[in-house]
Amino acid sequence: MALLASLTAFASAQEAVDFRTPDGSRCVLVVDRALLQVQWAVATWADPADDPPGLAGLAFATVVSSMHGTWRTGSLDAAREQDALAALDRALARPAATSTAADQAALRDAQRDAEALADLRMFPRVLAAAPAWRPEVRNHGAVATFALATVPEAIAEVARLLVERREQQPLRRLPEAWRDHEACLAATRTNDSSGAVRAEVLELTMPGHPLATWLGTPTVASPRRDQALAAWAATQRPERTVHVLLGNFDAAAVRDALAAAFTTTALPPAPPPSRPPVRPLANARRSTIAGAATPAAALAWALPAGVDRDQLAVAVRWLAGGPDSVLGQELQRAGRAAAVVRCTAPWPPSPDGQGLLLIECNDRTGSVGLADLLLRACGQAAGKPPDEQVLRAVTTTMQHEARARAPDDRDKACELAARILQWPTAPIATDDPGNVDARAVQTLLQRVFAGHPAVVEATP
Amino acid sequence: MSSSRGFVSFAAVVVAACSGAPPVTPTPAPPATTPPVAPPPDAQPPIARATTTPPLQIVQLDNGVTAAIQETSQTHTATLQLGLLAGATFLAPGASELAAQVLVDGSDPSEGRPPLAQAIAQLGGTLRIEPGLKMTWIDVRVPRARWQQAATAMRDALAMPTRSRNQIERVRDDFVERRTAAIRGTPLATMARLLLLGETSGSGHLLGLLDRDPGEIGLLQSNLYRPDRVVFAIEVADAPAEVRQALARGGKVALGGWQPPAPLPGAVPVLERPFAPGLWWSPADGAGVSIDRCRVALMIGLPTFQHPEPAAALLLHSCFSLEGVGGRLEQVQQDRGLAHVRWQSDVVTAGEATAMLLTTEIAANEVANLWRAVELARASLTDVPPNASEFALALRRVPLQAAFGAQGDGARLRQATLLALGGKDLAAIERRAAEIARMPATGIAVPATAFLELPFAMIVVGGQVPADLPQARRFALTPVGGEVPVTTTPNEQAPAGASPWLVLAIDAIGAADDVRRLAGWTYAATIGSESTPTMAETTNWHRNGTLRRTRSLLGQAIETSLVEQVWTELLGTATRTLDAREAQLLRREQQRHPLALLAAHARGELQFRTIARREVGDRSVAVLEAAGDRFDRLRIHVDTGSNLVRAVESWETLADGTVMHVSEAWSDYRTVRGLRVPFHRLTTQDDGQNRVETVFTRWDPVLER
Repeated sequence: MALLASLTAFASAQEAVDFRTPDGSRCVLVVDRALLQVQWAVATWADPADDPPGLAGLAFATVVSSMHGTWRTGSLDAAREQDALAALDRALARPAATSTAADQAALRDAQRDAEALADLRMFPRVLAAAPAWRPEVRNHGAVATFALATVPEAIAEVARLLVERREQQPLRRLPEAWRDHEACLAATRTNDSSGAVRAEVLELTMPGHPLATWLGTPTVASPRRDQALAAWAATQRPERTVHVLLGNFDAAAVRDALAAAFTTTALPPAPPPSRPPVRPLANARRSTIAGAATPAAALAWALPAGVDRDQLAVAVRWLAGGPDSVLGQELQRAGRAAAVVRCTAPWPPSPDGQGLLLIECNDRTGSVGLADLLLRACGQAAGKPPDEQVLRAVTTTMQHEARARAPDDRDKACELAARILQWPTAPIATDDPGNVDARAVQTLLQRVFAGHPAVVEATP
Repeated sequence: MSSSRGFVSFAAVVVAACSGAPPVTPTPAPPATTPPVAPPPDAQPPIARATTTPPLQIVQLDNGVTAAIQETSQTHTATLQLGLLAGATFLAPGASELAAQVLVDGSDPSEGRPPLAQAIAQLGGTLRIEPGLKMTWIDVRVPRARWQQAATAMRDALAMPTRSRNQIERVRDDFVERRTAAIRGTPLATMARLLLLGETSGSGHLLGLLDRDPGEIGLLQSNLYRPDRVVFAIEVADAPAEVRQALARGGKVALGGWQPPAPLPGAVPVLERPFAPGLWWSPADGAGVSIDRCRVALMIGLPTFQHPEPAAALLLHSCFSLEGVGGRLEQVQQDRGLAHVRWQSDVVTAGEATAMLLTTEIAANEVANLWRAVELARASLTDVPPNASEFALALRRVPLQAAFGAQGDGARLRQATLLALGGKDLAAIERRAAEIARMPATGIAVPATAFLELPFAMIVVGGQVPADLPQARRFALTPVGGEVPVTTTPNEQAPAGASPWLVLAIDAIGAADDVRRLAGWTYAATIGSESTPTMAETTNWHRNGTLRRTRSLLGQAIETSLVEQVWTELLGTATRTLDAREAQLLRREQQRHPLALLAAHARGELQFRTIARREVGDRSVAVLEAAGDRFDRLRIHVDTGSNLVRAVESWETLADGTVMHVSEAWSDYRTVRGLRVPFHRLTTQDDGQNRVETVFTRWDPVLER
């Protein structure tokens, strides 16, 4: 009996400890006794809703920039460096098209002055001495994670450094971080021909959504420092961040240490993110856009409130997760062998699934009748519960993909932190997506499809 | 199942297998420098670790498999691992990796066994191969509830390996394609990993893989994938007793009941593959690699558990680089005007070996200076031993660094298993580091060799090697001349028969139309070898398979006839019927004549893919391999000067199942009716002992209209 008790205690050791520190940071501690390091991931929002208008990607660029230290750690003369960065900001603000040779020289001088007053290695060096290992920033789409590895003994010290990074952020080398991120976004934009269709879906369903602007027009502006600092403050406010610590540690002691470190913030209160609310459409809406590279159709429904994360994930996969899915097979039966269908939900990214269920289908042979075919197929799909065996196969595939996405401990911590940020009220699950009841999937889809869809057709 | 005593021999082999790397000669010492030290952290109460995991249990199964069982608190994932004492040092370059790939991607349709990788994916799991110098590891992660199914699939893959040549060749081609992409996509990390495996270039590695014959893969698997050379490790939140029971001979998994058939005849040699330290440079070749900028990696080995003083080595590791943001390296960089060089840190693993990888990008003309900075920083550890401040900083990082090689479930279980088999304890390293920490500053004396003997290399991609850096060793990422292997399967983008060498080879022997029309030939020849008397031969051959051959030896004539399905041999008045295998061998001899191969290609019947371009003495040859199932395996060597086919290599499966390697060297090309035809053939079989010379006295083509 004693053996059984100890085994039970041991097996349950991976339950998450979820709490908020005095400054409002959400912390999730996951004890895994096999781990030799502590993986620490800090997730923050970084999608267009958190960026100033026309500056999509700025929040992410600020997280990258934050790797270069703080006013306290890395500045050789904080007061003079502030002036130098302000001067650099002014020099960068001059339009390139009208800049003179003198302007260019002034810009180079400003860059040189700013660089001379900072030691970009200092903060990484102090982190390394803490000790922490391989600090890095990851992009999860709408979420950025700042991740590092450390040891239990250094958690309090690393926490202190993370507070310092949050509160005393000069955003060094922001122009470089912005330029690099913009280059990545531009490549995505170039390769993603569905951008115009998605922008139109947003116009029909969530007019004014900042993502629609970004999808429609490339960014041409460069951020000012005050805009970047505002984006930093808004996205790094403690109540909007999630810390995940995964490792072998005394959870109670770590909780105390984090509570002692994350006490208060001087970041200004952030305005609510500019995400238009998702409301069920009062009637069906349709739009056609011409000039598309590939004929396509997109259908979108508002997701009901309180949608279950796992049920939604399984439903999306079952409905339109490739050629073997319900819609994939229906397209084959209809003779549309070239059609490629996919489903995304929630979209655009938003907390707790407050978005749309978006179905997109490309068919190079033409889009005539495609949207109606999909609408009919969706209605039929919700007409009866999915086959249990098929649903289990879907779940197994998702389990495989979840493991493939997170082969090492840091991946697990980052994935978990990003998931908790995006689903703040959902139960914290450190394990696999489990089997979902077929009737629950049917009920969910019935609720979704009960609403009116927005339909966008794209023609060449 | 027996006690842990039984695995002592295997453990000893494993421990020996995982010993350290050869020493690296340090360069002369630089002037003393003042090492930078990060500010000490504020005092804070230490946070303890949770209770440790239960100890890993090691048992030997009935058939000799060593099982390492780790109970875990992770409730949803089970990690399973096959450690095969069949690493990169066995048989031939690339053989071990390819054999492991065949193990996971090969199937046995006759037994209904799917590929192991597919079976694991269908269980919701993932599979990864971790090749090592001595051992090759297969890591599997599955939902906890399905670990027994996964283990059963692993056992079945061991018990029913594929022997299909076509399958093995397909696996090899896919693997080479993926590896080529990896080398091109992440050249620094891939090259670092290859160095840890004893390779010295991406090109050599790829050619090694392509040189492997399916017969070699079968030989390696048959001889080395045996119970007494396998460790099966598992980490699962189940009671170890239950796991042991499932693994036992009569259990649900019954890994202990796996008994492979007797090994195939043939030796599996052990290769010398020492780690090659130093500066490795792959210059820009004009194929998208910059000549002005270079990507650079410092690969700094971490101590294995067999290292005599791992704590000291880890301490000095930090003193040297501190992840590229401190330590001696940064100081010397500053002194030499390289303060702008900023490193990104990562870890590379190769089975039992782990190394830190620092990467950066710099101007090509800065590489020599950086290399000297690196040498000076390393040597400074000998000249000016780290001071107390440096040690204090390094000590804090020891537990972190000791876990660099254990970043995921598979790596962690591997480390735990190797430690257990070696009778080592990770905590002992930390205790030793703490002992060093307690020494007075004046008393700290850690020999720099503890660090300098670890594997170390600087890898450069891009730019050009400067003249004043003679120690730089050049390497090619992929085979020279862009002769990168292409897929066997023709597709729209890359038709398999697109090699320019075949166009040139056909052009060299005659008009393409004549080559296409070649339907057969008649010839007369003398055939002799050192051990047999010379015989005369006359042959009529048609590409529809009709063969009429007469051989005269010591006054007797042997007449062989293959006409459709009637295959006979007449000696005097005695007629013998040939079996299908014998008939096939006779036809193959004609079908692999250089002109027959080129004619088949010209007609679109036979495709080739380029394997490599090789320098053989003063002659350069392009090696091409026939695709499809027309031959077991066949390669031609096209002389890049004359464009003539100089050699044909083939592998023939004999009636008893053994594979015979035949190499035919063709020479003495003469022009006959507009075609250039070789009049001399030297045939060498397998071991080179059996050499047969054929001298053609007459050779007339038969051309179709």
